[in-house]
Amino acid sequence: MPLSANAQLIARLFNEVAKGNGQVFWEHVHDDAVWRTIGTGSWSGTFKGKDSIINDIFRPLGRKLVSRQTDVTRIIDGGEVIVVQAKGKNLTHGGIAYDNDYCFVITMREGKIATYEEYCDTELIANVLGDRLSTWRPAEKKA
Amino acid sequence: MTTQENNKRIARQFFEHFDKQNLDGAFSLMAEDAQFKIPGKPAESPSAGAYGKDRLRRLFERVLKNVPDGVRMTFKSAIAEGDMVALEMEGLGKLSNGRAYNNEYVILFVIRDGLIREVREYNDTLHAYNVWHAA
Repeated sequence: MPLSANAQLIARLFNEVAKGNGQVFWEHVHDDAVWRTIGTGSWSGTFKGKDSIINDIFRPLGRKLVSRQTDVTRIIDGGEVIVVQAKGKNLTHGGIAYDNDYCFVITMREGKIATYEEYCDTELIANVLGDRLSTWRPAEKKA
Repeated sequence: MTTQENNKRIARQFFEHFDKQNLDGAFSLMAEDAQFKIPGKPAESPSAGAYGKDRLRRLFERVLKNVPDGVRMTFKSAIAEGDMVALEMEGLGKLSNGRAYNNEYVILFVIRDGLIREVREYNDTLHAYNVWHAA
């Protein structure tokens, strides 16, 4: 059975990000999207709104990592809910490999990402990335 | 019932049996050569790695021995396509040393011909380490 339009879109978005075109990804995230990373560490929690997702997660992450890569290994197409299994290949500014394993549960609404749940190795996050707030800064201009 | 609905049912049943401490029931749903991968880096997470059926059963027995009242599993969602199922759930239990275990999971299954063939688990490994292994 062919992939749903949502699953095709998610596959395309990951391909675009891999090519360095992150803007296409963010264009397909609702302004009121909700991101949740499992766990209770400093990188964990629920982040509401695209601005918060960018400023509170991705900018601190960008300050920790010198290179980033997320390779999709499997997509489970649930129509409105798309599950993505992926392997990270990242390097910190300190030269430490940060190769996490991910399972993303992504809920779509009208062709855009509405919720993004990140299941990953939270112990690896704590050991390699350390404290998120050490690189967090107050809200900056929109991406 | 479609194959996907049946596969969702099998995935849930596996952990319903675990919840009831019925390991015979759970493992009757697994193929003999099934592989079950538990997340984490072995240096930090002693339970991490790939498990065959017999070794997994010994791990589950150790878990249940340390959680006398069992681990209550609550299902949040199930997504299926082809022979794959993703099951989101939470597990809640109390260890015999008094520590509270309250983890969240997504479990990816490959199920063919009514039997579980592959399982890939994702959970809050930091919580698991702190509850099970930290001094």
